[in-house]
Amino acid sequence: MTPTRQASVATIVLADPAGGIEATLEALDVQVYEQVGVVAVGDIEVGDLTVAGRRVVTRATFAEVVSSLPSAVTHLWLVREGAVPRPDAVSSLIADMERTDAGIGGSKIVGDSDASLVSVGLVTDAFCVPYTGMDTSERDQGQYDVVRDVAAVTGVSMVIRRDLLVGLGGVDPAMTPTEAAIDVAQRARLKGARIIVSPASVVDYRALSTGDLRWKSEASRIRSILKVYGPLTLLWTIPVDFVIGFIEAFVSMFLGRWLFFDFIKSWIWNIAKLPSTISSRRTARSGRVAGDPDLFRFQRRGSVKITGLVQDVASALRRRLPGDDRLSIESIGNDVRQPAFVVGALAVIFVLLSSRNIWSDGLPAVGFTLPLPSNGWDALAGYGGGWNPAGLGSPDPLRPLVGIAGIAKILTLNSATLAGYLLTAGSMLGGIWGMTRLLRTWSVAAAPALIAGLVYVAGPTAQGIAGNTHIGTTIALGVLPWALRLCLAPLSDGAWSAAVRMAGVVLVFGVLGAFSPLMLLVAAPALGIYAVFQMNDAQAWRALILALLGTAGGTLLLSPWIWSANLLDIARDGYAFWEASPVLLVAGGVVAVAALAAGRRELGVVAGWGTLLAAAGFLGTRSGDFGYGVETESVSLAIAGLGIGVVIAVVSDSLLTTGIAVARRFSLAVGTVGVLLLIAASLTIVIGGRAGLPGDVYVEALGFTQANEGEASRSRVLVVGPAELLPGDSRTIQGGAYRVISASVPDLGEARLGAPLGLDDLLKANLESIIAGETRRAGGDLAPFGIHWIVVMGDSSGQAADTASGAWRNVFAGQLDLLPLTSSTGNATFVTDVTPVGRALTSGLNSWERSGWSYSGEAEESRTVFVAENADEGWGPAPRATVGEMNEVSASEGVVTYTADSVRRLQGWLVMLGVASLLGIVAVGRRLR
Amino acid sequence: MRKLLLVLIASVVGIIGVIQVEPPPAPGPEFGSLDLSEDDGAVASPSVWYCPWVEAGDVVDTNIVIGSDATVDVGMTLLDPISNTEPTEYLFNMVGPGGAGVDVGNVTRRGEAPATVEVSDGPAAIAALQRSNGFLSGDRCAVSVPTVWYLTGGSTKTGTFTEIRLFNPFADNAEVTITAYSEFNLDLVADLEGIDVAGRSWRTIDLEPFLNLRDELAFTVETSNGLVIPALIRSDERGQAMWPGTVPSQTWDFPIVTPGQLEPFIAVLSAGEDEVTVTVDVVTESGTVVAARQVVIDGSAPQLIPLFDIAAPPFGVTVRASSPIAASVIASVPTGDADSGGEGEGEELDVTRTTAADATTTSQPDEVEVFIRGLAGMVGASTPSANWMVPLDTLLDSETTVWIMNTGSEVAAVSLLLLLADKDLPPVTIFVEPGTTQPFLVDVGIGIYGVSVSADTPVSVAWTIVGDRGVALVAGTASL
Repeated sequence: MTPTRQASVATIVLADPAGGIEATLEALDVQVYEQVGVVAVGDIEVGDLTVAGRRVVTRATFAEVVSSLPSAVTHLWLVREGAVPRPDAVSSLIADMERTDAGIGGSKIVGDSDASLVSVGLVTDAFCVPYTGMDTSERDQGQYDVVRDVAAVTGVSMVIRRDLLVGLGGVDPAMTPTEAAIDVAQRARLKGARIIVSPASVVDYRALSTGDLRWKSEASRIRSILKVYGPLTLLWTIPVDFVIGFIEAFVSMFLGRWLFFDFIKSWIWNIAKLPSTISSRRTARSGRVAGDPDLFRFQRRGSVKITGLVQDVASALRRRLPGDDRLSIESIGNDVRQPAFVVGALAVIFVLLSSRNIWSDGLPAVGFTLPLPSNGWDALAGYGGGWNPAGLGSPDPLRPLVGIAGIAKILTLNSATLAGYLLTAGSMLGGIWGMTRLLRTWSVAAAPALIAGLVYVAGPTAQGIAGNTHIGTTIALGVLPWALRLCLAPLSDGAWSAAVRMAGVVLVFGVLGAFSPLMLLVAAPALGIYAVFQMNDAQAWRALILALLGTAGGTLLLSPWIWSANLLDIARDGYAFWEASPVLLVAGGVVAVAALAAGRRELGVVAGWGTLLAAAGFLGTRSGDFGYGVETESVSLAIAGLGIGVVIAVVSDSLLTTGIAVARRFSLAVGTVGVLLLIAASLTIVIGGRAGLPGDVYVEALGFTQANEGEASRSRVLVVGPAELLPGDSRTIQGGAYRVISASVPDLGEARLGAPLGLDDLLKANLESIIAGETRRAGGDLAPFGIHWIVVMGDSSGQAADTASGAWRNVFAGQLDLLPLTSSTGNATFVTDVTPVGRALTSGLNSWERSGWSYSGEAEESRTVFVAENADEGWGPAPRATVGEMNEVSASEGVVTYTADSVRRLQGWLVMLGVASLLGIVAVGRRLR
Repeated sequence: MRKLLLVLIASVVGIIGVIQVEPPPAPGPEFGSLDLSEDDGAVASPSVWYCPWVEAGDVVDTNIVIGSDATVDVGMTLLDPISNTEPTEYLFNMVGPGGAGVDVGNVTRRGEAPATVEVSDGPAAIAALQRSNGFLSGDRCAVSVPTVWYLTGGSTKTGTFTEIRLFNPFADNAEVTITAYSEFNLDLVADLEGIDVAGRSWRTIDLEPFLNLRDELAFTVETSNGLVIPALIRSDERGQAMWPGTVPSQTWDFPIVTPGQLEPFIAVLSAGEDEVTVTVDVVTESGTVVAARQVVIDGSAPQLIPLFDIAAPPFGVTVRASSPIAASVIASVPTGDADSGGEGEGEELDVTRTTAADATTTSQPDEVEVFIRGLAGMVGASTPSANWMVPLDTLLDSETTVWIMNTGSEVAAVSLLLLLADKDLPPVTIFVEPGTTQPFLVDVGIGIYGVSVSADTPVSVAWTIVGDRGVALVAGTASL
């Protein structure tokens, strides 16, 4: 042994739940550097073991060790239980520390089995998250063998000057080892100490799996931030760290990790520990000779967590994309040269370009596409038994799409445009992605599948749906292929696999139905046809059974709406007739013929199935004469688009086949021309940048209602004109369409009218009187309904005037208490010359504002407020009375609310519980599987 | 085989889809005709009356008179000439049967102030009478609002001025085209096309700059957007007259065309493009001269038919035409060129004549040169009726007379219920021989504002007011 010349080192072995004390002590026993003694700290059984002839002492805490050490000890070597230092580990470390005058030195940590590098010192980000900077499979080839300053060293093997440690107040016992090591290093740096890593000092260690609770590590890290940084740095690091933690917890849900509880517990722990943290902070920062900039010098930019998260998401995505290779450094070069990668990248760019205006402006307000409710909680509450605000209101349940919109708004923190963008752009991406997954069922290559997906989400049929402004069906396009794929995909053995699949199917069908109820009925018949023509394929029949179960389960998830809905009425509302471009019709036919004639033999039935879907969908789009309506048209367009997508994939995939006959090659060439035409047609939606949806109409037409502050939230607008120009559903009177909406622009909750009730009938009677010319005071007749403005949509004057618009304009042109408003939109607009007008008007003639799904204003004792909503017992506060088909309630509380229907509210809660359970089954099942 | 079967089914389904035809466009609304043309009658329901010529300033005053069989709430709205200024509203209740007169000057005095008068029930009718020291004029107000109006009786001959007032009391802006017809047939004026009249406003268009020196003028006023109520205002040095537009009819009754000293004419304009034969029957207090005058008029030329040389005043006329025409009466002070119909220019003849006011003067008639005042005009009634609501006005220095014309073959027993502001009087019954027109002199100074006329056979009713200020002829309003 080499006698100690300068430093007198005491070795402290820190307990690790993974164990391994024997190996560690054996390694310590053969160290070439003489140690004063070895002390084991924590829950370690050492028995009669000795090191260098001295018995190993045990102590309960680190503080006990420090206080009991002989005064001659100048350095402490902290070694994690299980670590195996090489014989010269401590001597090299002490030598490098003395040479560099470092206060703390750490060893190079190498994996004990494969010589992989575990750590050569640590860098952290500003949030004290450690970062090794190494690839997971990186081997130790001496590439980092240089003594250098680092932000911290791991606690596996580190030497610290005793006087420094005492001056720092010791190691924080409340923290986990790695975080405690980082904390000690940061505090030491504040005192001016150097922290180095010595590559000559090598320690074998199995891995840095601390076994600590994750939340405790997070909590320790946050405590470390709180202790070392100055106030200015804390001002931004703490909130940013909180947001990063939230994002990590949220995104991790999609990666199969549930971190929300860890996130919450770590912060709560720090709140509880705040007094001791403050005390430690005072100790850490008193007498400091360095500041935050000195800490930043050894930190990397950005967030380690976010970087890791992005990589995890990318990896997860890559696993979902077609192709068997996983994303890795080595494979990236190959991947980017693959057609699938190129087409996929183009598809993403295409989606981003096609939906760019929704990102900036939100969803356009046109037809049935209306802005999402401004407050997600209100929308969700409305869906769960609340008031239906469409028209003059009704207790009829809102469509599930409103509930989904509410959830989207909640998740995006009620962002004005983000929820709409995520739904539409996400639907497009989901549709493309889903098609690739669906077509993988039949081993269609990635590139053809992506092309099929592109035409499916943006082609003529998708544009037809968007043209109908059926936003729900447009979004549902992104879910339909997944519903089919989940039914068709092979099923692994085991109960958990079956449970996960079943739960997933029900969830996806539920989401599909929530976006578009009629879409719920598509998968089962489509798979039924497929099964019939794949008579001997058990997988096809199982898919049909899954689809039927999914339809049933998904239907239950549409509670409470489904119990009062009539799908047949929805299917028959309006008149289905899609005016298809003859050129694109021929192109679709040519592609189908080519797929049938020249497609790969094994794809023959698939091509036939796709052709039949396209044909059946096409017939559905023109089934008005059979009694079907516009929602049927939209859903049929989705079916036709799906069929066209399948045949496009077959044609494109067959192009890759070699050695085919000339006739088949010719057929494929002709089919390819058709495919190109359809692709060209699909690309046109980039121009509008609204995912194919028409341009905004109502924001422009109704924006004037916001001219006077507060007026819009107090009043309604009567919109008249051609039915296709009115927002959402409309009612008719003597052949003329009209619609009452909230100012300034109705939201999605107002798209679908409930059944007409008393106040609706009263409005109709008043309109009949106005139309008949029995009154010239239309403004006064409409004011009780809260109607302050009348907007005639469409061109109502001149040679090109629309008949309906002109007729309505003439009705209101001859009124005495209306004033014309100059409108830049070309719509004739009138404002009533009646005061006061309000949808909630007190007996003191003060109008209250609509705030979300209630009304509020200044409380008026012993007065009442007349709420121009259809009379319903749910309105309050009491006493409530029905006056003129509307509600009269007390004005004494300054607020009018609607008490939700208890049964529907319960059903809503049960659905949420069901969804949570299904998600839980999927999450747990996937892990167990 | 399976593929073939799929292809076959798909083909059949696809073909069925292809052969579906686009549905016919949905029929438009069953309403929306802008033309709210109805008979200008008093109805037993709420109604709105439009009086374009109301004015109250430093020279002119206007009385708006209301007659009603029922107790009604009356809301009077007087527009302000300053745009975007709130109109003046005047509300009151009237016990029926009764009448009321509102001196507009007591409500607001700011010059021209076209009015709408809303009554909550009926039968009720409204008339407006303008007065100044120099003229009396007025007519019944309009209750129907067609898109095409006819106005006859204008002139821009030397010393005569014609204006058209376009009153738009409604919400929407109106786009109006005035088409002029003169002795030169269709008289195209580009500036009179596409005139904008903003909602709740009016425009008064002096026609002299556009149609100077036209002896006879008639107009159609057509709206392509919105609605207006036009009135024709004719004036000369002797007075002013005004009357509303009408819709065409094949028959017109004028119970009185001149009460005395003024020379009457019938101004007609064909509503079609073909020649129209117009026959005028003169109905005097003693009998009827059938087909006293018959003329053939071109489709696009107005015609002024002189009546002063047929019978001695007072008398009424019935106009019959082979196809619809617009017609109105103009009564003016005689001028020298009598042969040409009196409307030609010539030496003035008034220096030796007397006026109705002469009866009240104490000076020597033969020695006083009197400047005769008087220019009157009136629209007719397209059909006789058994019931009439005649709001009227009385002035202390003038004589108000109700004229009842019976063009039937039976004696008409006519009951006249005088409508007072604050008391009831028993009805008066008079008998009107067939083919005659009979006067009923209204007492002045007791607050009579109208007459409710009931007859056992259809009659036509109008009223006149004659005094120092001039003469006004006012049509009655049939109760529908």
